[in-house]
Amino acid sequence: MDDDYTREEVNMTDERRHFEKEFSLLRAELSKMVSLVSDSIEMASVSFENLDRTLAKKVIDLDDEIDNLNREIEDLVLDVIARFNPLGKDLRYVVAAMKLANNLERIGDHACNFSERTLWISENMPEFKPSLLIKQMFGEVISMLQKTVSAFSRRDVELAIETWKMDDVIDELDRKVTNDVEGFEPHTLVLNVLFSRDLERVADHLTNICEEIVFIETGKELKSLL
Amino acid sequence: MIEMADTIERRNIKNEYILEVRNFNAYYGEKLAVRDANVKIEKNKITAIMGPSGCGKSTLLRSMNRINDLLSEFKVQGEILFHDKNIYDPEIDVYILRRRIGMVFQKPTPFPMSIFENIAYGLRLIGITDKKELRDRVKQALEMAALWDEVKDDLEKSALKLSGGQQQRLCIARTIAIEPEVILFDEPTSALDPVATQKIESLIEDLSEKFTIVIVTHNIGQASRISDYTVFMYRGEIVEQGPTSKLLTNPQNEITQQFLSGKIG
Amino acid sequence: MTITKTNGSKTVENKKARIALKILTYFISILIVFVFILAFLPGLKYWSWEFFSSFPEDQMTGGGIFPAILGSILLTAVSLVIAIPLGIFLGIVLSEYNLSYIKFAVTILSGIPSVVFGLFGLGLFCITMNMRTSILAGGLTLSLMVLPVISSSVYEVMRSIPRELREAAYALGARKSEVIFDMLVPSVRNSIITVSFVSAGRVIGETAPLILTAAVFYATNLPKNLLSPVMTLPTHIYFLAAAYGTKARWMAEGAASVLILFVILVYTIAFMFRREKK
Repeated sequence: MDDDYTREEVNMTDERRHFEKEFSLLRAELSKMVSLVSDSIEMASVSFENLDRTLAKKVIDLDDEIDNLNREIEDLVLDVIARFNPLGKDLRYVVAAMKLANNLERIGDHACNFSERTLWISENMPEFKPSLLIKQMFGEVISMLQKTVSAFSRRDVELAIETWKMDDVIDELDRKVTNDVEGFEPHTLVLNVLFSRDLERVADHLTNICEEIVFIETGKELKSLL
Repeated sequence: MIEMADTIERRNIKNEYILEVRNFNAYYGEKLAVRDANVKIEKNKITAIMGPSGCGKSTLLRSMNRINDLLSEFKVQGEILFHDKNIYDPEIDVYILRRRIGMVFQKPTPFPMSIFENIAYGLRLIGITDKKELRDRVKQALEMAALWDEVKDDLEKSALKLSGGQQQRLCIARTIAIEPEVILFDEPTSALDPVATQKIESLIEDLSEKFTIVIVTHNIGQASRISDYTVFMYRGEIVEQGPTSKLLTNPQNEITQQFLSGKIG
Repeated sequence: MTITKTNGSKTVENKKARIALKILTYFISILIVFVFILAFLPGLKYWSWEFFSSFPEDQMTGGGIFPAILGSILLTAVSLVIAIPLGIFLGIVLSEYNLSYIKFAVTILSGIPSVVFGLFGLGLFCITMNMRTSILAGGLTLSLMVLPVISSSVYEVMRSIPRELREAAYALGARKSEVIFDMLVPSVRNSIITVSFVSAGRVIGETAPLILTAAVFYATNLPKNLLSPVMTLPTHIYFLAAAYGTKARWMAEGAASVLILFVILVYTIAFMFRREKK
């Protein structure tokens, strides 16, 4: 992940060096969490489509690691604020990092839920066929996730705003799923609605992350820049 | 000489700008120390001027009470308005100006006299000779400077025997005794230990109820702790200024951000 | 628990230097005491009430040095009454105002030999202004001589006051004269007095200028007024040595001791004021 937070060592004070070290650590933890959660959602999607039990179990195990990372990041943020009193962009980054981690943790939780449901389905409804709409939603969410990750690592405000708008598409799909109740067997219907609602929530969390990205870079609310 | 400074009305409207720096330039000989400065100082607020060493902040501050006039090579361009009248106008009585805009320096400068005499010095300058009035006003000033309790039993003691923090509070008492409207502080705590610093910062906050305060500091923490409005200077220019909390959480200028991050100065 | 005193690091060089400095100090002190003894002690035996109160008699083989004592006191008083106030004022003014030409002139003046001042005094006061050989001429000449010295010392005292104190006074709205006379001068009052008296101590022992302007080698009467000539201790010693033989030596020694006593007295007064009221 590139950034312009790394500067020439030339004019740096010792205190700044310590801060940069802690700061790098924070960024690294955040990156790690981003990629873990990203993997989680992608694996959950694949495991759902193929009713792959092994993959589903993998996702469930990953959740603990994601939760730990969230806690570590929170501790790091408190530490940095208390010790270094960051200001301006540094402050915004550090505070936003905490919110980002929270949002990522929730996304991770949803991935875990998808996988738990996948396991249940594979045991109790082996003939289950996922609705096309759900598959489409998964696709959109993953695409939105990838774009968010990209916007985060490249600190691309425009991409973040663009990605933020993708939430509308997913909301639309969610509405379609709720309306399309004809001819579905009750269990399948319930599962469809649950998946759809949870995917919509994941998209919400992703929009939050996009808002944080914009806030870090510009100090302004994303909505004010539309 | 027309004592224009004395006839300048003291208006009491809130949120008025009591001092305004307009297109102000200051030179030491050929060297330009302050370039094109524009600031408005709000009444009864604490305005901090911060920046790395050599950025011109002290020069700007010292131009506000014309104490730089004492330096032979000092020249100015532009205006500094006090109650809308330019203080560099030749008809202004600079001595009266300095009574209305007081100054506390970086190094505590008690006069080599008793504590009482230190404060009485300024009072006598403004014509107070009655012994009772002197005593009352000395007591008042020392109380306002949070020093009375520590020295009340020994006002005849030499001021040089006080600790650094006490000496600085004495200098503050000396300044407020003559009831100025504005008090300029030039890095008032950089020569003091952290405990004394904290006392003086609290004192300054209290004083802002009665006086307008302008404080120069190179310490971001100090500016953030006590000021309402911050002006950031770099290499002679005002780079950015605004309400303190906004400047610290969302600076607009890259140089400001670098200073806040500790990368410059 | 043992408490160990740390005696400061005593390296080998340190010890050598300390010993060397100690020796030097003792040597100089002994030298001073030696001179003092040679000059002061021999005359003590001639001290007596008669010695102090009578005129010299019998070709300087008897009597006393009263007129010389009186003359020295009068001349010193006259010159200091003029020089000290003027010198202090000049020193203060030079330190606070930018008068580089006057400062330069004063520095030059303080280097001019005393005998040249004597000639000047002779020409101006004694002859042109028709004062003849008199206390007034001598006093004026001496004051001219010591004025630059007092002025320079006071100047240095004023310059030693830190710049911040001046700024602090100006920042209260004080005018220049208020800063100088209400704050600066009172804060160094004692130093100024000390420094003035130390400079003044020089005047007591001046010989050459007085020979030319004020002193005679024998006065039959006491001086009637400022325009009368006088005898002074240093000039008297000179005349005794130059004009009279070994028979008058006793008087010279006695007079020398008295002179040294006066110098000690003046410096003692000066050092009483050395410490400022803190």
